[in-house]
Amino acid sequence: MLLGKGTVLEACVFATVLCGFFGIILKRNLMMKIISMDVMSTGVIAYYVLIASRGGLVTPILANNQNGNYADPVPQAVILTAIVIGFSIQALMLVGVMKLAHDNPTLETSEIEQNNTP
Amino acid sequence: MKWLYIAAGIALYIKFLVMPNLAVDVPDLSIVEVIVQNSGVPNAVSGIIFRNRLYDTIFEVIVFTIAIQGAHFLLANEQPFCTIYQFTDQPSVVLARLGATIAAIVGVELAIRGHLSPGGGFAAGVAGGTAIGLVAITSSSQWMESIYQRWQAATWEKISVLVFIVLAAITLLGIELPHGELGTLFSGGVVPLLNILVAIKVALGSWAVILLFIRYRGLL
Repeated sequence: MLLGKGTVLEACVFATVLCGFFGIILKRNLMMKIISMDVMSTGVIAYYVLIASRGGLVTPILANNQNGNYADPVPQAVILTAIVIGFSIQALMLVGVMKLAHDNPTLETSEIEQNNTP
Repeated sequence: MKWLYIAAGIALYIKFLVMPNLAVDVPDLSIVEVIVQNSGVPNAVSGIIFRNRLYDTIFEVIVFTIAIQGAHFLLANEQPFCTIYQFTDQPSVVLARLGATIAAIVGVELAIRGHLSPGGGFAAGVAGGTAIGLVAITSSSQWMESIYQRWQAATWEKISVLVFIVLAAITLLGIELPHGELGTLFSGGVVPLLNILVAIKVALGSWAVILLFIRYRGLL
């Protein structure tokens, strides 16, 4: 069971998600937090693609001369939404950080909180 | 405290690796063939996005629109960047123009054949946005801005979103265009139209974002 089919890939994908998650909660810089969020979302997308390839590896486009099973199209379609949403959310977050950087010389969260506490 | 978090995370990681995945055993039913039969397009992912999960896709387009409007709103009271340095040497200009041409052609191909082959509206829009970005780094920003104004790109972007929502609502009400012959260019009812609309929307939206970021932040 351990080191079975796809377990190594799964371990790498989980490690990516975990790295991103620790980056989000442990890093103090807002820029690093955004980058870690991107790393985590990359891991999640990779996990969906891995799940989709469980049943087969052929692209889910109907063809006459296919050999092998089709990959599951449902997880792929679901995660396509998350890719686009992630991209737009990231653009918005970066603009927000840009605005914060105008008022604060640093992007450390503790400094920003200290500046904004009355 | 930090090390406690990391230890908990590593324990969770090992737990996920050791415990077997609870996979649902789907009886041997070919999802791809069912979806292709229902939607009338060979690309099953496009079929799911624009038919089985259309409700989701409407809100995806809306979230994209709102995020771009939010970026506009947040940047509205910024000072524009005074001097913007462009790439002016001849090799960069030629290479960027060549890349832009190829990316634009690929974008059109992905948009109109997205229901037959890999691709689709979002990928096509990103290819179009890449083409526009490549032109933007080598030509003056005033010129880009004047083109954006002259072709009324902002208006077209909004029109494409509205037409998308109307078409999607009609499809959700249960009215479907005839499917046509499976695998030809004009087939699949409303799916190719939705693909093209999404491509226009994403390309114009990324154009707006590129112009915005160049105006306020410069190129580098």
